Amino acid sequence: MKNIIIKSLVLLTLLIAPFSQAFSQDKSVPSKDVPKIIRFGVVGNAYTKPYGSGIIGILHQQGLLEKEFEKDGTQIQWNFFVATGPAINESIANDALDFASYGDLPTVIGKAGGLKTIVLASSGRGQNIYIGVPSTDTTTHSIADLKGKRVAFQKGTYIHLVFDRVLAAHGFTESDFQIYNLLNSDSNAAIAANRIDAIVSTDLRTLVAQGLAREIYNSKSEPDLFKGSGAFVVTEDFAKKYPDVVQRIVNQYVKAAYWASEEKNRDAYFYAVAKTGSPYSTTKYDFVGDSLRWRNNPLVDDFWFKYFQSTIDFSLSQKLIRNTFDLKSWPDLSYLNKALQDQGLADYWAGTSGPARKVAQN
Amino acid sequence: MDWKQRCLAFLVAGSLFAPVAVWADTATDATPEPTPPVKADKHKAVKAETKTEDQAGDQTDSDNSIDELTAPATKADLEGVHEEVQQLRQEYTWQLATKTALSSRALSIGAIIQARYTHQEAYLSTGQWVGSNWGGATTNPALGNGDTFSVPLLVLSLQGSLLKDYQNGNNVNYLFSLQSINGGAPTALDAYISYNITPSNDNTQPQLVVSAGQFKKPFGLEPTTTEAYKPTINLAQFDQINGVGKRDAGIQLSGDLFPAIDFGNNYRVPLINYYAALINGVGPDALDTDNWKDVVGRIVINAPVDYNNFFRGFSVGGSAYQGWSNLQKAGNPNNVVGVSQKQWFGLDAAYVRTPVGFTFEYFKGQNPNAATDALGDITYTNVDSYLFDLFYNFGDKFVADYLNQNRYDDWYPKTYQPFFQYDRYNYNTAGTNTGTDVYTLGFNWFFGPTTKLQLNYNLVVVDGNTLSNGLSQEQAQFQFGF
Repeated sequence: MKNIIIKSLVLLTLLIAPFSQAFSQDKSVPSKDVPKIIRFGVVGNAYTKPYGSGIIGILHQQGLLEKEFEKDGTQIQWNFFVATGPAINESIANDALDFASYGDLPTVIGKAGGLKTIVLASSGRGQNIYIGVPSTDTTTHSIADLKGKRVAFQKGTYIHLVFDRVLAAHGFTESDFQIYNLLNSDSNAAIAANRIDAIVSTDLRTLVAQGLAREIYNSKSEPDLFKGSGAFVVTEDFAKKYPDVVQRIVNQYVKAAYWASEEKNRDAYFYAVAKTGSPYSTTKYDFVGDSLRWRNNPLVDDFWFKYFQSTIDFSLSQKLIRNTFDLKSWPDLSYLNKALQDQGLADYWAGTSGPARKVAQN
Repeated sequence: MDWKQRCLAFLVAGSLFAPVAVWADTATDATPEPTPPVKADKHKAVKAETKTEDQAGDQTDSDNSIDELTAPATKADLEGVHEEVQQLRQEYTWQLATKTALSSRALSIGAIIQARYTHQEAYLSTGQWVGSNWGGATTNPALGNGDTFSVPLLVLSLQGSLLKDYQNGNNVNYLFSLQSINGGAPTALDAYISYNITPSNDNTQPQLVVSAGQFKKPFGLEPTTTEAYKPTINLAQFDQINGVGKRDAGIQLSGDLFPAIDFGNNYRVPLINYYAALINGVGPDALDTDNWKDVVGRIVINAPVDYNNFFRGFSVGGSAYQGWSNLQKAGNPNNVVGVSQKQWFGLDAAYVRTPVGFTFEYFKGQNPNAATDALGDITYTNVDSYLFDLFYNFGDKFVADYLNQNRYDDWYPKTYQPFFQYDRYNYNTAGTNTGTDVYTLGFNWFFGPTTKLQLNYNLVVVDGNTLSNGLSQEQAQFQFGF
């Protein structure tokens, strides 16, 4: 019997060998080669449209990477995950992605959980959250009025993080409410059916326009640290193996960020975001008073570090993560700095936390 | 409709159609390509350099298109939109009435189909190979079917929610499925209603579900794995011969305790899964034949760790089955002379994750023999079994949320799974040379979310025989579904 088992295992090894070879290559050796495929993970949406918003959305829609790598014959694979950031973490853990752009909380949880990622740039900042109640509810007008009631949102996303921060600022915690962990689409259905008392969302305007919900809160007037941010990351293995490719991708990412930051493109940008299924009016409303340069700022600057450190601290205090990590050593800014220098944009986004933070229009 | 009402209608229609209008553009080049300047240090220089003639021309085109999109609507525009909404409404109503399958409640239709080729050179009689029907297809070269194509399994399933509770998720669900084995008449497979006793919306809390109807017995690891996820083409010997995985009618409680949540990976794992069922114990599609109900239960302890932890996917389980049945006097089924007992015990351990994993399962059973005399003396046969799987899988199939993407095109997340299985079954532990070893070397190629090609090489060695006397069987099977 032992012989049979040994022979079978040998056969199994031979069967596996051709497939495992491709996965066992030494990824630490930098290569001038260009991979046949580069895999991107992007946050999907509740409307089942394969488009993203923000800088990564523009990078995708304008086909900048497809053009950049056309001569190399490299396929750019875009993956828009319905389950948003947590699904991106899962895919990175299973070596199904090379690059990803997603929200602050899942990036931090992923890194704290051992994901080997490198931050290349910010994915933007200033994302607001909205709290809505059923339109038939005429008595709820504030967060305080929701105490003890049923509130739904998707845990593990930046909405979760921002909501908890807002609660803390108002003297509440999650335990003061009945929290339901629902996907956006389920939340929308639940509030339409009057089966929950409130939803926390990034897109409430559609429900409001349909007469299904009424907005009682938005984070627009809150401090900037109360608004969502995110990161554009690459896996450590890919960065070690293809540093030149990473630079070319960051170059295009900065080009997209520049286009998405120019006020002359404001309407065009809103229409680009509308491809996700979120109406034009929603994005326009969300961006009122904010400059595009503020919202689509790719810099990993002092604000970014302060924001992400507070995210780590908050996640620890809420026991969303068990371990912390060295935030300073997470980003590798050499790619971003080179792209900014080469494109003459070294100072373009600097200081957008100051006067350039706001715009008069809208 | 007056002018104000038309304006209001237009605004509502516009907000609905705006994303659609933009969506109709191509995925790329829909917005002007950015043209930041090169090698300029200051933003002022950036602005100056961007105003080249060509670039200015590009921007003019872009501005024009934006103007067109944001220009005030005319009365003709409003009437056109109104007309188009009316046409769409009529088209939708007509399609719904004439070309859409309807049901009174939410319905999801699924199917599993197997298309198989089997080849084997020799035939093992029942005495040598207890599971003469092993694999669901009796292939006998002497009968000319040692080399055959077959469609061994068809399953059609209907499932949905009878009551959707958005507040707490105390849903009432149903599942009904029919199966046909080797082209036989369709029979009921699953047919049960279930109710989420605890709120299923909140996955941070323990879950508890009660089910009633006909369902799979909660026993063992391999028998409770659904057809779509079994690595081998043939069933394990202990499963096939004892009918462990067969459905039965009754009522079941299933749930979990102490869930651990990794929100950052959308991963939930309870420390304990438990199942307890009260069933007829006579198999599917049958009335009970005694006044006793059989009891079956299973408990699984999982590693309550985060998604990236090395121990994710590790679990140990235990199962037990206690059954009773009437023992009739030989030749007179109406004369009950005693009660026989059927007892099964199972232990299992699994480490299921990418890329390497294993499962191990031990089964021990005491099955009553048919009465051999008029007094109905009860005798039993003890059986046992060991089952071990070692697999190496890589690809997208086993990344749960990777398959759930927003896409317009169809796609084929390829996954490969070579595996080895050792399956030993002893049909009488009191005897000698009563065991059978089955060695399977297999390869599963998942080339779609619900489609796989399975290649199995089985070597069957009966106790007392040498390897050269073993029976070899080659199988290829497409398993597909929707």
